[in-house]
Amino acid sequence: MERTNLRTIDIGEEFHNRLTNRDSKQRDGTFTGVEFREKYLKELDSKEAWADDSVYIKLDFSNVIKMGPSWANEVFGYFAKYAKPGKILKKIQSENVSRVKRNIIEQEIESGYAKR
Amino acid sequence: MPKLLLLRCLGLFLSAVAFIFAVVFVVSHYYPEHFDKNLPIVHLSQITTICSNVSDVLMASLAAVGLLLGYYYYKSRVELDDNTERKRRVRKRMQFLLDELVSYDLFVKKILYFLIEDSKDLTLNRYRVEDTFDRIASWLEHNDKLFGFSNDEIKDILAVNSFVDKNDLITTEEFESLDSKRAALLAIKPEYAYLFRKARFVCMDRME
Repeated sequence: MERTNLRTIDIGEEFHNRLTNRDSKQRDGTFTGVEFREKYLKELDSKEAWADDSVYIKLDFSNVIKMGPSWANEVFGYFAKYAKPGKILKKIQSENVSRVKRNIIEQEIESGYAKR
Repeated sequence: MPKLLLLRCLGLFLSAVAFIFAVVFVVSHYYPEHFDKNLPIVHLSQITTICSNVSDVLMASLAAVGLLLGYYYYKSRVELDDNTERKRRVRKRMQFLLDELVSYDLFVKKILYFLIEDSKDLTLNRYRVEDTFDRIASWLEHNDKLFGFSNDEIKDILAVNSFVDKNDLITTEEFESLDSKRAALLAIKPEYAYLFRKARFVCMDRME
């Protein structure tokens, strides 16, 4: 079941088209996974938010040129503490994403959050 | 290939039958004296008429079968040529992927074995690691259909960079601090080597 106020974020346009840094310590420390998660996925950072199967947000990757595993781990893998991979992928849906990028996302969810 | 050989043999056999029949018809029609002279002429002409009719029908049938066989052979040949060309393209592009993986491995190992001169060299090497895998990821995306990797195989290739990218020692630690952590660097080498071998194996398995 989808929320009535379901949001679709064009990541490449609204955030950045190169998604590589986990946090401010990595590389130039800009446009990080932490920043993205806190800006767009803050409401999901609680056990209660994962009680149901509804879609929370759709992420459009059509304008994303590059995505690194550290960024994906921080954005998607972070929620492995609340839910199983299937549920994470259902709640945070990805659109217009290549098979390689989709596999990066799935891999980072399956491997769990790599705490720093 | 066996299918093609069978078709060729069948074609040759039918051609031989048609040829023999044609010879019998021509000889009986133009050189009746070569047949038994005791046979009445009316019987001979009946035989040649029958032979002629049967020959007409057989020739037409053989022509149709020959056309079908020829078309089937042509289709199979085109398919074989396309397949050969496709395999050649896969081999060539897979070789590029393997070469990039080897370069990636060299840059990572330079850090793992601390073959770094200074901070600048470390930054440059880290950039090379990232840049090389960017090319690998792009190449995988660009040739997704041609390579035909399964999701698990793609993940095996991505796993090595996932490990490297999330490792602070390889990607973040300052040069001066890294110098004192050489043992820690070497300690992660076995896991890295295992993941790299898996990634390389996926690619080499496709090189027919």
